Amino acid sequence: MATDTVQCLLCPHCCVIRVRERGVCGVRANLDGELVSLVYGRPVAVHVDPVEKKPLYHFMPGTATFSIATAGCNLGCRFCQNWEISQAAPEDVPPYDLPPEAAVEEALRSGCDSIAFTYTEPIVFYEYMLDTAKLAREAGLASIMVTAGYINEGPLRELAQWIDAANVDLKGMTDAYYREMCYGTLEPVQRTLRILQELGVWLEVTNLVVPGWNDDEEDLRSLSEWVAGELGEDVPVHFSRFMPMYQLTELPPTPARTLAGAREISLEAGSRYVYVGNVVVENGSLTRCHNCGADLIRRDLFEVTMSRISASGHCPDCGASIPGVWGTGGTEER
Amino acid sequence: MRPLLDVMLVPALLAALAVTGTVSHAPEDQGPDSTSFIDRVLEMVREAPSWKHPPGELDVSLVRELIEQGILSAHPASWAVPYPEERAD
Ligand code: SF4
Ligand SMILES: [Zn+2]
Repeated sequence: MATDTVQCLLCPHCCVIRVRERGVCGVRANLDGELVSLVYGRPVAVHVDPVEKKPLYHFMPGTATFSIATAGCNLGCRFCQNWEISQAAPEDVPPYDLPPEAAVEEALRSGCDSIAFTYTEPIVFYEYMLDTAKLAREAGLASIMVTAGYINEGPLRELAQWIDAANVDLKGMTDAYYREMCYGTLEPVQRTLRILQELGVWLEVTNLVVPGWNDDEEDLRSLSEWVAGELGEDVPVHFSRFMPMYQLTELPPTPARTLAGAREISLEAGSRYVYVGNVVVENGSLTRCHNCGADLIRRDLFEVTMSRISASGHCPDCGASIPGVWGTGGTEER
Repeated sequence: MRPLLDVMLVPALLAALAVTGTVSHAPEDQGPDSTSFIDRVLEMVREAPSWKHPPGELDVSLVRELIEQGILSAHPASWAVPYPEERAD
C-alpha cells in the first residue's frame, strides 16, 4: 500500500522523502505526498558570461552565454567554490522570478548564443533546465550544462537530447575521494560522461586539483588515463586551481606548477587539448592544432584574443579537423 | 523577490558572491565586495540551520508562505514515485 512517502529517482541518492521533508539537494520537497521542486523558475544567480568561463574552450568560442543557477546541490564538496548558494536552502537566498520563457527572452535580448545551467548543480533544478532547454532550441539558442554529473541514467537520457554541450566536473578517480570529499560516488559520474558522449553532446571535462587531496602524480595519471582512454583524445581537459573555500579554508591555493604538471601528465596520457584554469600557466589557455602545432585560439582569462579556426573547424595551416563546435570562426587577429 | 531588472545591474554583486565563476572557477581578482545585499545573503546562509546530510526537515509553514508569495515554486517534480508502506520506515 502506498503512503505519503515518496522516493526521488532523479539522482543516485534516490532519497526517500517523508511528508514535510526534503531531499539531500534541499530543493525537492514532499508536500502532502507530492514531490515538488521549490526552485522551478527561481534562479538565484543570473548573469551573462563568456562561454570560456564555463569552461568550454571548443564550443562556440567568443560567444556569450546566459548563465543561470538556482540554490541547491546534490553533492556537498568540501571545496565548493560556490557554496554560498549551492549549499543553501532555497528559502534562504532571495531568487529572481525567471520562468523558462523569460530566461529565453532575456538570453536573446542580451545577445547570447546559448543558455548555460551552471554555478551550482543544474541536476537539482532538472525540470526548470529541461523546459528552458526545449524553448531555447526552438529559439535557436544552444543549451550548456555545467555539472558534476551525479544523475541517474533515465533522467540523463531524457535531458541530454536537449543539451548541446556539457562541462562535467570529474572530481577525482576514487570512490573514497567522492565519498569523503563530495558526498557522492564515482561510478555514476563516469556513466554520465559515457552517456553524454554516446548521445553526441559536446563534452569537456574539468578536474579541480586540491592540494594534498587529489594532486599526487598517481591521482592525476589515473584520471588522465581514464579520460583519454575511455572518452578519447579529442575531449578537452581542464585542470582548475583550487582556492581556499567553504570547509577547506586552511589549505593553500593549488600551486601553478602542480597544474602545469597535471597538464603534462594529461598530454602524455594522450589527450590532445589540455588546459589550465583559474591561474596563468604557460600555454595553459592556448589551443594548438594537434597535427601541426599551429596556434589556433589564444585567450586572455576568458577573452578570446585570437582565433584562426575556420567556421568548419579546420586548421588553416594543415587542414586538420579540430574537435569542437565552432561555427563562429574565420581568420581574425585582435 | 528581486525584479529581473536587477539582473543586468548587479554583476559586480554576483561576482563578489563568487557565483559568476563555474563550480570550480572563481577568478582571484574577485575579492569580497561589501554591500548590503551580499552581507544579507551571506548572513542568512551562515545562520541557516544545517539541513543537509541527512535529508532535512522542512519548515512547512514558512515554505508554504514563500510559495504563496511566489518566492518559491511548487512545481511537480519528475522522476518521483510513491514509496511502499512496508519500506517506508
Ligand atoms: S535530486 Fe535531490 S531529492 Fe532527488 S534523489 Fe537527488 S538529492 Fe535526493
Ligand atoms: Zn594544423
